[in-house]
Amino acid sequence: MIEGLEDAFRAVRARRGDSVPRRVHVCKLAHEPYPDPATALVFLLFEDDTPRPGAVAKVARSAAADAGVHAEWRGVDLARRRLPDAQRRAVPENWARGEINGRAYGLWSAQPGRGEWHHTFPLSEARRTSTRIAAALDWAARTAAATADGTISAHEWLGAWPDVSAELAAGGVEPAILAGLHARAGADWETRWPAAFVHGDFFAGNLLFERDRVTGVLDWGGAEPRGPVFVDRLCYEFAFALHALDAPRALDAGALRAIAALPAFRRERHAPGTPCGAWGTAARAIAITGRLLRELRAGPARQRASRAWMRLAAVEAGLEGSSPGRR
Amino acid sequence: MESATVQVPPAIRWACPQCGADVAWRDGSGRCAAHGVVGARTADGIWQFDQSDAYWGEVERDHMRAINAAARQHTWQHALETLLRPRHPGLMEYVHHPARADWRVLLPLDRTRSVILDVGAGWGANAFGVAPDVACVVAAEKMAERIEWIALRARQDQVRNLVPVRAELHALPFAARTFDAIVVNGVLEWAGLVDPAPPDGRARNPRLLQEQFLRRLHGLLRPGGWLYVGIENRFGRMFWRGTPDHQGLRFTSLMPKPVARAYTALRAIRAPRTYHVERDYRAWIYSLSGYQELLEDCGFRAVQRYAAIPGYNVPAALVPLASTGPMRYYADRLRARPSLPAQARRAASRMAAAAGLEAWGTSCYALVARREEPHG
Repeated sequence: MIEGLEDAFRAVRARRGDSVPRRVHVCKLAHEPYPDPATALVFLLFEDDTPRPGAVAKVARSAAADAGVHAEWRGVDLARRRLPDAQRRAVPENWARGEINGRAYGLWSAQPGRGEWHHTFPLSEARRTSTRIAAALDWAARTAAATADGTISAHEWLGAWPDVSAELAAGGVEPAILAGLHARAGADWETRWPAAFVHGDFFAGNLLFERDRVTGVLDWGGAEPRGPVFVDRLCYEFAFALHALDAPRALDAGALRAIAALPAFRRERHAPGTPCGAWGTAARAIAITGRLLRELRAGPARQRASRAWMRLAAVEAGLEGSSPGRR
Repeated sequence: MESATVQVPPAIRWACPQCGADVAWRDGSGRCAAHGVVGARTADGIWQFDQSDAYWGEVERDHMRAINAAARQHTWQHALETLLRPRHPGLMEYVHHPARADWRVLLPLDRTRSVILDVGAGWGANAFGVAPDVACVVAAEKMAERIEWIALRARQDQVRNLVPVRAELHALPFAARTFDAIVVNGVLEWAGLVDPAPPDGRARNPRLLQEQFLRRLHGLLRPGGWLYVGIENRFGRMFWRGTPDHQGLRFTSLMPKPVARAYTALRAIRAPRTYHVERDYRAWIYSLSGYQELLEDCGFRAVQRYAAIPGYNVPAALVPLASTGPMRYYADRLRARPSLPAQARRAASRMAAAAGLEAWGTSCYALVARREEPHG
């Protein structure tokens, strides 16, 4: 597999008129030891002895993961066509795609910067990363402002509530959680929200930073041309809560409030131009519903992610205060 | 030869484990002209060349048998959930997650042609993980209960290109030049544990047995074929931290081997170990240069070396060691937490990576080597 990626990288460099590296070193990377089978294998390609990758490659882990690689390609293409220059600088370039041993692969330019998974930090430490959280939220806000495209309702975005409810139920979402989502979002299902381009999986794990600037936004497989403008911003906040479900910390309403009270999130809610309360319970419930639908549609391979979003929905609705013992 | 009752996988060329002569299959038995019946095809579909009663595994033997019985009665997934998870929750992903076989990215596999051998297949996680990427994978495992599990799972999942073989690692029943790739994941260290033919009743030096094993694998590969080895680094930081070695003692891999052998014998006097070769230090592992030398001594070339992080059993990261660049990036790819200890650890890691020390201190290696193609 790595030989195929090396060849693809060299071919891209030659096609672009860049110098072709003497040696290419391919590094396989994963965020966790046992990833979902529906995800792709991720590789970084280094040329000669440089400590910065020159390209990123993804190869489908299984036939079921082929669609994810294609979706990433389409998402990057969409982002690079829709975003203004300032935001587009953080988006990789599509370089090559094809098949290796029957599996889809894609090759992209590597973005500068380092990751900072502040969503996994204890809140006391996450407070000290406020400038980068703010930078991420600012990037999302500027992207939304630059790609504003009328308004959109939850109905238009996800479908009629009865259909959405039926699909969630078929996917294993408990009636109490469904009722909780409906109680919080039902009255606003036809409410029209500002619409804009949506990344779809916007959280610290998919960003790169240099100092306090966002220099890379990765994983574009969930990108949509139009969605409610609050989706990416709320997803960023939800990532803190989702991590808490995996960590030995309790997740309950108090924890959610503590996350929302992080300085960067609090400042952003009260920033000029942000209607106070606009992204309240209804928006949160709609955002969770949208993400839950997406995870369930991805099939059994995303079961762990689906269960995490279900539990977040339950905690948001006040149905449970999660603790490690109750997992 | 084939009979109507036995379908020999066309990709596999069998050989007598004792003399290497061709094995002919008839009526479910594999026969060598010199040694008679050397193999049998069981009702479970296992190609059996070993009938010893030995057992080793992560779970107790009776428990493994109960798991197999439950898998036979219900499904293998049900057996894991009801019998393995309650007692060994930490093993659940280990025994079946396909990411166990992520080392496969290092090999040029072809799903239409590649025939590979997984030596010491255990629960089969690696064999099942690689099966979709190859034409045929032979899972060779000595323990009856473990190869039974593999055969059960293969049948239930209809993995038709997986061939379960019960065989001892020093007596692999295959003809020369049968395989495009051979996988030895967490196995090489055990090749020196027991001498299958000790001269004068004394077990030979473990290194000699490991060389014998590797040379045999070299012969089983087609010219240009690949060997993958996943194994610990004898000087890996986990051993400096006191992680017990394969025989249950601490710090032995850090000692010169004669000292480690004497230490093991001394400890055995005071506190006998649970392994039957407890009086001798025999599960030898090596340093990065040690593996290079061992593989080259056994005829392999073009050795590629990777750090397998957090370990070869679950290679989330495979960082090439031919250049310091990737490891320098890996050590610094994420900003550390703001706390002082985290920042200090990060600084130390960056310095070690920049100095090239990570290659020597990483806990596990993934090594890829090649049997050279003939010239001309």
